[in-house]
Amino acid sequence: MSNLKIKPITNSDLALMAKFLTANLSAQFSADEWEFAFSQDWSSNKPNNGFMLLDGEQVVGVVGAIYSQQIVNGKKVDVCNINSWTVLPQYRSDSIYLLIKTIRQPGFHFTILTPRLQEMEIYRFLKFRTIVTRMIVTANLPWPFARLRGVRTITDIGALQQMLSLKDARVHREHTSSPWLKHIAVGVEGELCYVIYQRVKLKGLPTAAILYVSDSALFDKYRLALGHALLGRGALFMRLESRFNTNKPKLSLLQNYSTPTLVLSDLLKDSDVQNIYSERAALNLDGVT
Amino acid sequence: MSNMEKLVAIYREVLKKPDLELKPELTARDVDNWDSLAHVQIIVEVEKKFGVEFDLDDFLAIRNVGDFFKLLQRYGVEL
Repeated sequence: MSNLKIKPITNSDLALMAKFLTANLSAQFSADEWEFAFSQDWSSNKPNNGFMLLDGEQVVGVVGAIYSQQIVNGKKVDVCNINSWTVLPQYRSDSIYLLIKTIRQPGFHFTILTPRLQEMEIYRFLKFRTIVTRMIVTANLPWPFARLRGVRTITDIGALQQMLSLKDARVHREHTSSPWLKHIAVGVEGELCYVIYQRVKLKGLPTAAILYVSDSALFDKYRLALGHALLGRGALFMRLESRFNTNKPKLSLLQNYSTPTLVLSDLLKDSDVQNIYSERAALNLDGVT
Repeated sequence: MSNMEKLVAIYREVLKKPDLELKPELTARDVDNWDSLAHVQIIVEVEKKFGVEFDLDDFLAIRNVGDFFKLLQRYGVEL
């Protein structure tokens, strides 16, 4: 570490960081896309955008951090989502210091949603907890009874803002700037389940990857109506993490493998860890392999 | 097997260097394969073999093999 230094990534460093990530982590995202991902306004307590490892003036490694303030059990909680940990091969003996610097920031709860499997031992060493979650894939089928039962489907931005709870209206507002995120609410008045999803391809078939569910019980209750609405929007399947939903519906597939989710927090429960304040929502993953 | 021999065996196995000589001034920069993952694997193996548990500050204080020897001695491991 003697000639190296670690520096917080400020907003003015974002372009440099984004260029580094395009060159060294994934060229599937342009530097502009990386920069957008870290420019989200999800926290008034955002101290940085992660940390970078410098050799002189040259960036040789970064770890990205996406900060958010989330409401958990009625209380505002500061969450730091760690992602995009990338260090040039010759500097990898020092790469862990980037992570340690990040998790030593007081007052934050930490999540990692897209870890590489070969790094798991490092995260375990740093006391991250692994959430066991699998992907449930369900076919979206026609369900013509929705109207008969008075179930509504709402996608209009203005209507959503008016009808959602205060908490969900805020979640909605915070995610309208990403055009790849789709918003839908199903249910009856006073009992709406709000869902955010992204269109992805699953074995080449159009699928709604569910990123946010406002209420698991309501999701179960209105699942058929939601499937019908999603089918009408071109999604043949919906995919949801098992931790968001207690009931696995009939005629659904449980995928054997899914990327582990990691948490470093004495407060956040498995179901409290949100995809929507992470790279999973901040980047357009449609078409990404 | 002495504690030092056990320690050398751990380093050699994790770093896949059967002939590695452990000198106090040796750092991760001096050895191929010695990345952060290997660093953690060495620490975890040592914790298991010697029945100790380090905290993160201990980890941060290790700059070379000599620092690690001193740390182990502080935890009561005779080398």
